[in-house]
Amino acid sequence: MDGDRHNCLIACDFTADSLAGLIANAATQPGVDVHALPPAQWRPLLDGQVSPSEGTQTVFLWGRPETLSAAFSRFLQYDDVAMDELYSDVDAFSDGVKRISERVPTVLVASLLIPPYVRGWGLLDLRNGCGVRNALMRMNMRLIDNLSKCSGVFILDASQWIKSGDTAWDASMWYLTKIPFSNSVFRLCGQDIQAALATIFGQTKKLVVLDLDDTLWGGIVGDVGWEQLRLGGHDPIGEAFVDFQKFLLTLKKRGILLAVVSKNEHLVAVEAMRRHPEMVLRLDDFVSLKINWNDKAQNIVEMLTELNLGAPSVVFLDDNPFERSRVREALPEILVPDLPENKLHYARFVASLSCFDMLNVSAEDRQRSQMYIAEQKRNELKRTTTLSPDEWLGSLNIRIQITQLLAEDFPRALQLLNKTNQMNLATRRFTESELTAWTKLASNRLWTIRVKDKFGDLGLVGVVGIAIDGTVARITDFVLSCRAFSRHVERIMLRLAADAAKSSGCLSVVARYEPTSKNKPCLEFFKRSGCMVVDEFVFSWNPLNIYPIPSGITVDGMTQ
Amino acid sequence: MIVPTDIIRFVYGAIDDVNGFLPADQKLVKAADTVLVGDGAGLDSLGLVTFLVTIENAFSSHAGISLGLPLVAADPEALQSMKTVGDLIALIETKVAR
Repeated sequence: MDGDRHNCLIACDFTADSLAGLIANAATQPGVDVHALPPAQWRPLLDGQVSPSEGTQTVFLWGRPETLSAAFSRFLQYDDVAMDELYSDVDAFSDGVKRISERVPTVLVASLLIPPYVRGWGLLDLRNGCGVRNALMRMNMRLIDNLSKCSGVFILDASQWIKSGDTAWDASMWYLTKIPFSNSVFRLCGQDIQAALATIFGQTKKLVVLDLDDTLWGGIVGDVGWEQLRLGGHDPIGEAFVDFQKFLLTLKKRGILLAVVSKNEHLVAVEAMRRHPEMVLRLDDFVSLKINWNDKAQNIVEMLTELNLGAPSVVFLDDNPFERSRVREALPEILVPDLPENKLHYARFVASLSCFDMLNVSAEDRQRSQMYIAEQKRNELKRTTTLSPDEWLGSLNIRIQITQLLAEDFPRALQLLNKTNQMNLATRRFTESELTAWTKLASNRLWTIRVKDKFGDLGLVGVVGIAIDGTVARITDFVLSCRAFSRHVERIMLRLAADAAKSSGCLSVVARYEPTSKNKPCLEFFKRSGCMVVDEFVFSWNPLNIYPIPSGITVDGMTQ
Repeated sequence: MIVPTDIIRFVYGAIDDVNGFLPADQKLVKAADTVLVGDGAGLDSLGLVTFLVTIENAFSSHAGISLGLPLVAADPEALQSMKTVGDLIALIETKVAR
């Protein structure tokens, strides 16, 4: 999406100009254009008679169940309606959503909401066969089931938007304008759409940098000692810090890295982390500890260099307004939320941040912390070793597994293709359906690359794609996660492409580099690769010659 | 007890609110001569209703009084007496006084 504008269409069965305006004004991403579809075109859009305009990347759909389903409308009037009739209407709506999703990469769908003014049938409301909310829950589950395997379609929980209760519906707005929700509802809806757009734009945060004193625990460890910290126990503040740590641990399990930057004596703070019996987070939950008396901004800069992460992927949490201000000023790309004054609210506050939302969570995401910790051990060994670089790489016992794209690897491969910037030859971005269609063509092949060594499993870190065109094999995708750089994995990937070209009877394998602002490392690799330089950005290898790879690396699956 | 400064505060608060969804070049200015109805109006009919509903809700929740302002938007004759923000404030003052 670099350099392009992101077109977002807001399509509702009511006038949604206010909602579109709110989203457009609150956009944190550059280049987002938001348009509202006239409500008269809602039905034609679902029926496929009207298409989203060319270049629309995201469509948000919000239809009310009483208009989507004539049966539900009758149900609201206590008519006898069979559940199958309601399901049939939901299925028809789902088909419309699927049609739209074939034309645009991302479709966001509001879950079905009961009109805010409807109380339902009281005691009978959750009873099978007559309850309005019972029926609506089933309709929503049907919608979720229908769309769960639909790539690029995400259902947003609209019930969160009418939390304001009585003010969610305004009689004047309804009778004068036929707008069924108040602006307070649109604000919450807009925030969810904003969060979704940020996730789609890859703005998910990857690293939480935490202070210790009065952030991860209550009290100043250097003053009171670890035994007297407020953490757990029969103490509301202590319990709140435990809950906060528990939430941070869930973030870690979702693949968000945790790190500490704290002004403290290193040994004193580490002893607290190691010995306090109520610490939920332990030392090995953190990928980096910068516990010293240095400037925190400087510590973060050094940490990001070590972790090979950029400032936009970081959230900094610190109770001290001075430190927050310092980091904001020095590193404006870092998200520095103001933690609540009241420490009882820490967990709830951080849990409300949308910056950790993800499109999916892969096995690699869940193991990310361990991978970073293993990488630090590698780097430490590299710093202290007396071996030459090649001897050092040989000592790692690197093992590479090459596999033709498997269904279970598809989400991770898609994630790598869409998120990798540096070692990426052409930076082709795909929707799930686009990648599926591409891999089904007989001329195309796609492999995944897994890497492990004696320190751990780096997981699925690379993707190689080629397209056979007569006697030429074009490398269409050459993607490697930055955590696997400089281990000769790139050379193995090139050998893979050359061997595949040879077995397909090709006389050359060609890589055309498509420059972006971030993929220069890929160009540098191809310049050093030994390939023939056809022009500034085009490189070629004769597959009849075996492409050389270093010894000492075990490769499985090269002949596939 | 509603005082004139409360009325201005509620009206300007509603301007902030509607400006939240207006494009940058159409945002309302907090001034008595800002046109609401007719030539040069910054709001369309939908925006005007939203604006009046926001003010109505502010009076309802803060002072517990109903002014019936949104219905003005549906009354062409009444709209003629509410062409600017200043006219609107005067209308509210009259209604509050009653």
